[in-house]
Amino acid sequence: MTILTRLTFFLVSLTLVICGCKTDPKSTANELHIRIKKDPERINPLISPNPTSREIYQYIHLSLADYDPNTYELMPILIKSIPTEIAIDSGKYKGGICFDIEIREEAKWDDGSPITAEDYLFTVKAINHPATNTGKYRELTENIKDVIIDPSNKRKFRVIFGQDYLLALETAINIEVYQKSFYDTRKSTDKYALADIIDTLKTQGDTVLAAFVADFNGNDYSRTKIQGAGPYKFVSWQTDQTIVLEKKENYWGANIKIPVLQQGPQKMIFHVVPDEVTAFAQLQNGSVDMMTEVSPDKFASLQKDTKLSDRFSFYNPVLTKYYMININNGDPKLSDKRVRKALNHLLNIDDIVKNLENGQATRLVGPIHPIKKTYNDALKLITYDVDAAKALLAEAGWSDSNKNGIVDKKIDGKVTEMVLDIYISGQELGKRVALMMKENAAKVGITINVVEKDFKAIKAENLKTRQYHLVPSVVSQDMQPWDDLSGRWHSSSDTPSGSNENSYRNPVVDQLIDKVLISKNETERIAIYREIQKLIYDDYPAIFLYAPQERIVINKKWNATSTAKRPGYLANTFTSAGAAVGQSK
Amino acid sequence: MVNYAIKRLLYVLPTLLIVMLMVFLLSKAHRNDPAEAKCRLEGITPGHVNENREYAKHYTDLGLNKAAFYVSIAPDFYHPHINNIVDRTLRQQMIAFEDQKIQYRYIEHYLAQRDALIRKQLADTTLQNNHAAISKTQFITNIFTLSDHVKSLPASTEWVEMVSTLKKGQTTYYLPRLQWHGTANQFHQWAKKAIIFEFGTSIEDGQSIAMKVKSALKWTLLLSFISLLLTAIISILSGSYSGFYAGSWWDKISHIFWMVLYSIPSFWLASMLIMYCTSDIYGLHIFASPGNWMIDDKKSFLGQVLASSSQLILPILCLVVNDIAFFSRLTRNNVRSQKAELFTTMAMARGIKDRDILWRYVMPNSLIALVTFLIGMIPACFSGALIIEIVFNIPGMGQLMFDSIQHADWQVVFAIVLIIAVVTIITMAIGDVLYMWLNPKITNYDETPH
Repeated sequence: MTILTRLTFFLVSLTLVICGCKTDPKSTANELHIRIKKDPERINPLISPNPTSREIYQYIHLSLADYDPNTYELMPILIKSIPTEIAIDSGKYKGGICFDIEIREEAKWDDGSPITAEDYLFTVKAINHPATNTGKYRELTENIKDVIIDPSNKRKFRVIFGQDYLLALETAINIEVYQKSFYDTRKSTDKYALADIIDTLKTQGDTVLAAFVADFNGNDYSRTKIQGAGPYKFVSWQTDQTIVLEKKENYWGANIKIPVLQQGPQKMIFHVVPDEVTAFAQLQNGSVDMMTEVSPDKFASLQKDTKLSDRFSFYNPVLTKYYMININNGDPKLSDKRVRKALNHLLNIDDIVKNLENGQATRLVGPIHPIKKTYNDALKLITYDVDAAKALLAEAGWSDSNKNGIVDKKIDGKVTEMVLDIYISGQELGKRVALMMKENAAKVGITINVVEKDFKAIKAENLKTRQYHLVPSVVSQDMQPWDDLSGRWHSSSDTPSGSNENSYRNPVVDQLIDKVLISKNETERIAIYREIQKLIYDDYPAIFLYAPQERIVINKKWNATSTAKRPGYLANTFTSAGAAVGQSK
Repeated sequence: MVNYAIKRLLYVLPTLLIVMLMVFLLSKAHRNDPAEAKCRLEGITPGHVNENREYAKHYTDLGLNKAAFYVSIAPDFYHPHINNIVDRTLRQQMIAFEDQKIQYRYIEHYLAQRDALIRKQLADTTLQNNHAAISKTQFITNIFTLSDHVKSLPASTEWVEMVSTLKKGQTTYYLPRLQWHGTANQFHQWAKKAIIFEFGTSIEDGQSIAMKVKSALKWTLLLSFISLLLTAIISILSGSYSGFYAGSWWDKISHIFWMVLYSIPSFWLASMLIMYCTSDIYGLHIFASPGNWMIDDKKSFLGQVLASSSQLILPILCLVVNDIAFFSRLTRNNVRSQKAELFTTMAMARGIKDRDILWRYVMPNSLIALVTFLIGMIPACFSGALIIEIVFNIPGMGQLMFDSIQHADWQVVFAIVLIIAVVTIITMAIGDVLYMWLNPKITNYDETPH
């Protein structure tokens, strides 16, 4: 017993001595510690263009041009200027368009070699090869028919498209460029023209090319061998733990006044911390300098806490995403737009913004984000109005004929009661909105059943099969000013594999969507977008809720700014504010 | 005893095979589709223009177009090679119609005819007012709804005829069809590699699965075994004294203390400890922040453990409190019942010291129940504690398993389950042998016919 007792005390004391007395290491002045919610899986913009991955690769890889987060216009990064579209009137590509592009002289890779048109051509070839896992971009880059390099200037080239289309310029210049000599050491793509690499018959049996594809899709180029033209270099990655980037020395873009080329902290250390309570504790004790996607309640409590609020800066950039409730326009109960309008009147969206988002959101009228120049601000926001909803239902022929408290109507000869299902995935916001909707709908004689399911199941079993009434969802958009509305709002996308999940059909809207894709004049384009929104607004195909704001907290030891570009900040533009604030005392 | 041990270990193989089969079948029952998960990781969301093409590519690359198992037994009207249908929508619609007992040839015929007619009618601008209704037929897979719906369509005779032909395919009587798919099946492809512990690469991040599991396992094992050791030592000490001196002040206080701890949910305790003990806001910044791992890969594992030891204490604390409470009560009750035995009274009558009675006479007899409990905890050590791992941000097995299921990364799930199964089966076998060693009567009961 004595031995065991002593052993226990010894073990406990030893553990406490080794572990307990150690608190957190102090972060140094030039190291920025960022909390990320999950491991990015891969750091490879072409293969894994997800938001978490982008939060890291945006400092390593650069595209030829990108959207200015303030003006939402394309700005040159690796290229000298934004090219203008040239129509092709003759020759092999007659009827198509092209862009003449020139890469900056000073743009260099890490080994000092210049970034050239060959690198661009290689990147497009890598994307277009059918076996590489770059399907998201391939949809766009397959429209590039050829890349012709200027024989007298290896940085100049012409990008040719077989036909004109809305996103041709963005496709040509908004792609991260990969270093050919680094990613294709075997030069396996050299012997194929761009048009040939798409053709599996022409590349069949080429083992060298197959080995390139395997490597390109593989683990190394996404986890260890990561190199680009950006201001930071990849240092290390501990899966599910940390990712470290370090400022490049003698960086070619250091003196160019473009935000994405700036160099700020010496090191950026991304900590994977999924749990918010844990992340919050780290933020408070100074071992993490900033966190994004803070929940509204935590954000508000931190702002109110006088002990803490003077140690942190709070940012609410508006991000390009919005929330809506899908309505199945093809369902017999919901095919009348007066019924859909009545449903729109049944949600007090202003209250939702105030109570669930602490006022940090902007309401919207249709499928275009309010920060975009194409947004139709002439349309009035729909108000919460139970009486109007009642009147609309009555006008549409819905009344409580059997006095059971639920409105009904004869559809195809059968008495149908207005009982609707709203499918939610268990997210807190969706749940609360659904319950509000249920409560308000009961006031006008509509019964709403809240059905909770896994979102993948909702997608597969309800949205794709159009067997639903209402489904809340989130729509994420790019910063590009010209949204492609054909996927979600064109009748041709109302198929089991299409994304017009509302089964929304309006031939005039279809025509306008087709027209905007080929419209050349910016004023005309904006007018068309506004008209489309007006038509969609009048049809009430969905309940458009609001565009939420991001919630970012940053330690005041950093001078920081937020941006509208996801993830809402550019860490390379942060500068040290001098003395550390908020570290452990 | 050797014979018994060998016999017991031989049971491992069929049990393992059953476990492998169960895991495989469960993965097939889960709605997460690995090909779809791969599309999502590539940034291709549902409805993306390239979705169908990329889905088909991944579906084929992952071997999902092969039969699931060596044999299949299905009604004879089912499609014999349903997995060969690469188009997801067609495959799902085929299954939906088959579920209404319609023969697959009729369904194939209907689906082809339907799509051709829809194309033709949608191209006809004079039918624009009916386009919504025409399009709707693509979504209807219920034969009765379909019959009602097509009556209102233009060229309804053609539609009605198509649907009535489809109805004719409905069968009332059918036979089971037994099919042999050979070794070109999904289970065989996986199992032949799994038995040599070659698990391939993860679809989530392209990493070697063996490496992923190894990396997660080291932290899980470290935490679990330290927790297990502490649980065993503390609860044996506490429980044995409580049991031996049942009714004493120590027994009463420890009972209340452990019950209070047992009642605290570990995730709540974890959150409280993090909030109050890792931040200077409440003046108790005595432990390092959880999960702020900055582990140098170049260091030895021991070096890594020492470097991150400050972060291990809180998760270990959360892991042990519940177990200690339970285990100490178990020990107490065993010791108490052994103390009531005649041999203990005899020892007391002989004037042997309490301490010696407890450790020499009572404890060895209480060990069997304790060994059962401890053996049962070893496999759990390999599976990790999901909530504690998430809260303390420990990249262990629990988190890996959870993430892999979320991403439909079944190869990783298979590997983890297989490892846990192997450990469980082997531990149970060792446990049985150990009982026999502790109490030879067990062998006799097992081997002597009644």
